[in-house]
Amino acid sequence: MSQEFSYLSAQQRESLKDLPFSVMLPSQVPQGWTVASLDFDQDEDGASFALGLTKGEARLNFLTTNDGIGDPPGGARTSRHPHQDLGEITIEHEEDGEFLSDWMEVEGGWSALAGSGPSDSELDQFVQSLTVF
Amino acid sequence: MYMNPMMNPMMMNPMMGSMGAMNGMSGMFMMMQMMQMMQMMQSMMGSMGGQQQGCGCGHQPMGYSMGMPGAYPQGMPMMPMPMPMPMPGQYPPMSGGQYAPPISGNAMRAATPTGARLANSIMNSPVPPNCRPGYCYRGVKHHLRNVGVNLSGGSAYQAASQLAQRPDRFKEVTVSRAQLKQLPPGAVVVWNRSPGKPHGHISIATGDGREASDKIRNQITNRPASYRVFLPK
Repeated sequence: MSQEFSYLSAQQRESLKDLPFSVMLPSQVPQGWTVASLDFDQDEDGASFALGLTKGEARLNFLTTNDGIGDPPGGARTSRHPHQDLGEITIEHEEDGEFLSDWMEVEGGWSALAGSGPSDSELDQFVQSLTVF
Repeated sequence: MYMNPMMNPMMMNPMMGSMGAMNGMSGMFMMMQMMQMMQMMQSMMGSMGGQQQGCGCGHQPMGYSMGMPGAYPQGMPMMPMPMPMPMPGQYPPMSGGQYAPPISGNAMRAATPTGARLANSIMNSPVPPNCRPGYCYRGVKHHLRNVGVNLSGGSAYQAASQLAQRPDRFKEVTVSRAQLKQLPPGAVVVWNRSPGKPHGHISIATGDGREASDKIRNQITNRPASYRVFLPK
């Protein structure tokens, strides 16, 4: 088994230690997925972190923020994905193909998984490897 | 490492578990509580069945939908209840809003000056800066700030009580679920939290059957939660 978070560079991993909250990220990513972005924003509405992954047209964002959130609107369908510590993560899919998971509380904020394009089995893999960094 | 999966703060019903021990003074107390409950239910049924001037949506009985006059016992002329008794696993309705008047035909058709400014803000910035999926409250805060209204709190449902406290800027109205897609530009819809969904949702109507928050989407109407609607003045 590969090392946890090895898909991130040492510099990227180091930058996560300066965030004002913990972040929930996949410890490993399925084959074919690559890091597209690593963003941190802070403004009058609070702090926000996002790790973006892509695979072809599919994209995933691992989000953490400490302000201004709402529950996933959904509308098209709901998928559920098991996690060994969190139980089951619910993902709400919208009619346009975009999805958002329920928010998971982490130290100092809330984390969620959003995106479009991955299969449910890929979402299973991502959810199973979710770990607080 | 700290992990806390979302908890569902079920409120315990104090009557449960003590029914089998009804005797003496505790039995009298239990009887009084039961009479209060019956009185409350009679009052609720009377107000719901006798007048259909509320939202009329009829999807969730017993006050689960906001804006239904008399649907929640708060403020009713009855004996004081020892404590609210929500259904186990359900969040109580958002307080307030149950006496909001129905939306008028004129209000449905016309955008107010502030509503037009909100629509402009949405056109200029359909996805506000740093606004990602699920950041609906952040998006709405951005647009409302552009018309001089500042909201606080981290979760969307928290906006309702703040908007209700700004009668100088907003008028709360009762709107059925079917009417949500006909709201004028700038109308703010706040969805309450519900079991498993602790943050709620908030959006601003664009006037064409869609809503804006973290992005522009078709107006949500079927969320299994109560909601309140505020028209900008």
